[in-house]
Amino acid sequence: MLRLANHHFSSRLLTGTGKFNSATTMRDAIHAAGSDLVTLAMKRVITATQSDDTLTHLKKLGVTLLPNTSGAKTAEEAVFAAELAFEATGSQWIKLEIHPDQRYLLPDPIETLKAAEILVKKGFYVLPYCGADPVLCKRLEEAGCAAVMPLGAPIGSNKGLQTKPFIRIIVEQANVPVIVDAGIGRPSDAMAAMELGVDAVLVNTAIATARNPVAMAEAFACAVKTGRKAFEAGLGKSHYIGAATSPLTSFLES
Amino acid sequence: MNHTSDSHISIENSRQRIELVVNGENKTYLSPITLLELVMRDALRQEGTAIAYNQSIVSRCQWSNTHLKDGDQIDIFTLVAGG
Repeated sequence: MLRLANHHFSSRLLTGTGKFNSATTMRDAIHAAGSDLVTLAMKRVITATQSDDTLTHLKKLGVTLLPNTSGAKTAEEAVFAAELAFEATGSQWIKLEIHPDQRYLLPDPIETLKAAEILVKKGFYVLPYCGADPVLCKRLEEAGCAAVMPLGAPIGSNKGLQTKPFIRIIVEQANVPVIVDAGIGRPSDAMAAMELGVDAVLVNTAIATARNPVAMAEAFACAVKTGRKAFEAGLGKSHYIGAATSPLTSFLES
Repeated sequence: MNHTSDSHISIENSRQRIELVVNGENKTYLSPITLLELVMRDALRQEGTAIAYNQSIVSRCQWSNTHLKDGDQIDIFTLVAGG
């Protein structure tokens, strides 16, 4: 059970709705993932044809909506995007993301912290996408964020848990849930993150761009559950040298 | 893009044409018109939609009370797929 801002979620796998070939595949994949916290974005529209069916499908699935502030380049824009999202969804949950650089989509730490402070005061449950910087994560926690969401690798890169040593430090220090967001490319990446003790992972591209997104969503769900179970079971210590599992008595020589 | 038609204007020739900036694009409408009427006229879905009127967000219950004036800026946003 994942607990965020005094709300309980049954799944530790958060999913995004972007990049799917069709809205029905997206719906089936989220169902297969078992996610109950699902991201979506906001966009300007001019004509009715520019709307999509994402919201309709998500409402039928009964998931909690986690709108993001994607497209915001400053704290001010992110706060405005969050308020628009609240108006559109009625949801106090907001995935705060501010990435001015279009090539690597890396989050701006200064603007993110500024926006987090404002949004928390306005009553949002803020989930900030941030670099895997333990000091920044502490500052975001102090600002009142409901969780921290350090990246594993750039958004949509499927490069996996490149920031593992820093995620370990963040997990050790955090008093709020840690959710690894961005970069997770394989179920084994998700499992590795869960084994480290992160509370949840957020996956979108790796599921949406798989040959069979629904089957991949199931694979991620299994990996997240297994990784969590392993963490709770307590992993054995690792050593550089061998440690025999059988008696080393030289019985043949008596 | 002009959303008025000649027949429409001749029937309602007492109404005034106003220019609005909708999502950055200049459009002509017949006044009086409210925010709600604009949304319905352009057949935009209301669910999952948020509107900024001259850079301030207007809650849905206020759409029908918001009367648009020449030069007003309206930005319409909707929820879409995203990660």
